[in-house]
Amino acid sequence: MDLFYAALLPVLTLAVLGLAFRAARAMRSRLDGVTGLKDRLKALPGIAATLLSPKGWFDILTLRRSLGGGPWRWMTAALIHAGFIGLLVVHAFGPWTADLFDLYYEATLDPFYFLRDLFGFMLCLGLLMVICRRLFMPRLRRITRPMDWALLIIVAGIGLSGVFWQAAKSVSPAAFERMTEEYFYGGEEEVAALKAVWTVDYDVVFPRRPDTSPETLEFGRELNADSCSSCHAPASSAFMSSAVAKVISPAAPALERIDAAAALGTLHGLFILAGILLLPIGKFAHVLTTPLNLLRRRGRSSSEAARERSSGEMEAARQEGLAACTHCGECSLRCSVAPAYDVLGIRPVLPSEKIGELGAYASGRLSGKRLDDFGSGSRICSQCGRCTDVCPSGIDLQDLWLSSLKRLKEEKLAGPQYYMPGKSPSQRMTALRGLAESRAERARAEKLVARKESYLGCVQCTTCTSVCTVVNASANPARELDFTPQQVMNLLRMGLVDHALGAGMTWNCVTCYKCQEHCPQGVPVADVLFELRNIANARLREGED
Amino acid sequence: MIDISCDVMVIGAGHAGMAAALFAAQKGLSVAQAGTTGGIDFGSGFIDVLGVHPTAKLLEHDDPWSAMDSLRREIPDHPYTRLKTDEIKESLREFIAFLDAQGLPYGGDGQSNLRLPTPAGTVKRTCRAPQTMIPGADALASKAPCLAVAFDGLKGFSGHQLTETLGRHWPALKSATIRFPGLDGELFPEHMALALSDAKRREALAEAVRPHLGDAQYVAFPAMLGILDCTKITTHLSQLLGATVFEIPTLPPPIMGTRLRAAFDRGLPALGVRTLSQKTVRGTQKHPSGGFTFTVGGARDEYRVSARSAILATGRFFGKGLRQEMHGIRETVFDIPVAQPSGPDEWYSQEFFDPKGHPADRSGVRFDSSFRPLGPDGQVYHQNLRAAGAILCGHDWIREKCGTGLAVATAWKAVQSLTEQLEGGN
Repeated sequence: MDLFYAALLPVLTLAVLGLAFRAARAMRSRLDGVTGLKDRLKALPGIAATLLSPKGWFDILTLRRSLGGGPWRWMTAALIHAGFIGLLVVHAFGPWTADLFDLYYEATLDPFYFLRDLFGFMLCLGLLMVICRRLFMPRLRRITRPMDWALLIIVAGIGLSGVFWQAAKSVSPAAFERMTEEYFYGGEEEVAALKAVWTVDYDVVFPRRPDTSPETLEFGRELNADSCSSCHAPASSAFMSSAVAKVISPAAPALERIDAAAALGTLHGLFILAGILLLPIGKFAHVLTTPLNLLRRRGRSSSEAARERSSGEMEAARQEGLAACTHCGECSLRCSVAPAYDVLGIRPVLPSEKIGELGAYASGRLSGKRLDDFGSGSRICSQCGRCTDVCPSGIDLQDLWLSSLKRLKEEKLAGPQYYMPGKSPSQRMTALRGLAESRAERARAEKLVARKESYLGCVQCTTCTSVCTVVNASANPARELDFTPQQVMNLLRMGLVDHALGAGMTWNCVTCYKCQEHCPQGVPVADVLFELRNIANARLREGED
Repeated sequence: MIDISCDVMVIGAGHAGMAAALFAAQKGLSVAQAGTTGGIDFGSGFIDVLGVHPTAKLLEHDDPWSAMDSLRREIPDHPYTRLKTDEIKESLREFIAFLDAQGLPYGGDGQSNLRLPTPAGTVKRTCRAPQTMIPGADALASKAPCLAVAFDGLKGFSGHQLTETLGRHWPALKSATIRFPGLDGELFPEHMALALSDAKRREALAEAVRPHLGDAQYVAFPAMLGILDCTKITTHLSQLLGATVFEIPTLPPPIMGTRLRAAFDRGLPALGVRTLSQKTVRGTQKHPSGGFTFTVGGARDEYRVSARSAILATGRFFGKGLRQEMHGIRETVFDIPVAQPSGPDEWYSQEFFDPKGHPADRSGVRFDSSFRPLGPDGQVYHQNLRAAGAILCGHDWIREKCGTGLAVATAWKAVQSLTEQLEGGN
């Protein structure tokens, strides 16, 4: 551990520098593309003011927002947070805590000895639940990145190396010898009695098992009370490391030979140093950024209430939101348009993936296919707001999507769904004419447009048009939509797919499905319109490649 | 799959299906109902009981009940022969009371047929009609000064056609074709009706009509004056124009379809009916002990309905209760034998407008006096099954002008006998 203390200061310095660099980058990064640095600096007092939000603190302390993912999700978060923070209090900063409560601190004394294992157990249980969640939820497994595993490995590494370190120390006779040499005065008989006690009550595995008859033990326990128990609570207090010690006891001599205890101690230190070193990077920072964001949100849930006082504060709130993502994937499990990701494989369709790309986009680090995918993901989002509702970090995701979409549109990067409806029918036809069938089209198992049975039953009764919300909202359907739904079906019936692809109706359909629900002939009107638009999108996308 | 159990499964959501679900629920039975868009969505809203008999002579009647007496004598397998006049009247009374409570009042005395103008400029005889259309009968009978308002972009409703045809015997009928305020291009009744829920639009519409008003005591509009707020809108427009406003039906899909569906969509679930809207029966299992298990759904199986009994009200060809195949006509849910012409050659007359009609248009399932469908051997197909409406054989509702009356009355009788049987069994 000398190495640990020697490295601690440089590592902490690096971490602080890293965090400062990250904050500086966030200050320069601009999501809305207009708010300048001056506005941002002016917003700093506002940011400081959020630190006093009682509702924000309530959210931090109770993990209330994790409930959006259900009771198990909350339980997982609660176990990890309580476990980790508990370990910081009773173990990492144990001596300070003891001072605070006027207690005598010794790691191996109760309550610290017991609490360390209790919190460690909570942490391990929570981590196990997280790992299972990531392994057994298919979509979550697909989006889990090395960074997610890295954080889990480091936190689990800190916990497990600690537990095993304690276990290895417990079983080690060398540690016993070292301690008795320093703190125990007695003859061979006394040492033998003490050995008996430490075998039974403290898990030590001596090369030759000492006599543990009741009389010897009784004598030994008296000696133990005089010399040892003022610093050592029985092993059963540390129930987890004691259990591990019992499991590894057969291997105790071998562990002794390789000095496993020292190795595990070093490992424990390295894991902690790695955790501190990585703190400024990616989701490792969430221990700082997520609470900040929760304070910023001041307990509010809907986007409506999120309006900040100035554009500078608005932008600051967005940056805090961006930084607060823990990539837990809850949003992607609830995303309304996630099936589009399952089919198209465009990762930024999912909110948890899109937010990462958004950070890169905001600081101008996105280009090429990644930018295309980000644009597609933003376009496919239906702004249903479910991601915002379930986000345990309280990120106002919907506001992020709306503001980035606005900028994408301004920069002409939002894709066909935004520029096509505004074009004239002939411009749309020209854009689509001659484009080859796309890969996505060929891969589709169910092809509605290509199957004439889809609209064979159509009797042109106009029921679909009568109930159509888009036609209803239009003052002049012929001028604004070119064709009404039943006319699009008729185009397809006549084999005029290109005309249908270019029709304003196709590009303006909101897929409310009223047409399909009302069709007396079972024509999948909305499905066909949706497929037409997907076909056109895919062809345009590949046409640009 | 979601499991549902009920006393009665009503298969069909046209007039007969809706009426059957209504009557069964009112009798305290638990009801599930499946069916897609059908007859009610395309109907004028008129409740015809009997308008024409015999069809070959195109003989129209002002008294449906005396006409029915002769129909019973002359067409012995017609569904009306299994119903008493009082039963038909009672069924209509209950049906209309329900619609009235839902905001769709009906007019007509139920004794004699009304004479009402159609968008083609012909006169149609019907027993009961929506209250918003009733003043048309008085206007037509009194030949009072009347303005027919048509709209640019609303297809199938021509002011000129009305004045050219009806105007020959009604010189005081004038017409005007105007723009509908705020809408342009092709118009659809539902969108116009929704627009008129705004009082300002109604005022703008009245302003657009006023220059053409002249001495008109009546103003006829195509049927689009609101959905379930039609009474309010018609009254408001009458006040604004200082004349009696009424509606003339439009070509299908008409607004009355939307109104009727809205009334049933609100009213039936309120009576406890489990409506599986836009779902169809995809599989049936008959249990020898009585009762059925149905699988119901849209594109896939979604519900499993265990029903003690069922009412088949799937309609004929457009309702998809019957299907024409290469060599014969099939019933689509249970494959019950269909009374039909001997072969495809006999389905249709040579002339499309043959006054005698087409033999295929009288096909349907055979039934006994309790409206139980008959199986291949002429015996009852299943003790706990009833049939109602157009799927029954022996009538040609389109030419006889008896569609809704027949649907409602047979549904009433089917529910009546089913209730007696189910209660007797308890």
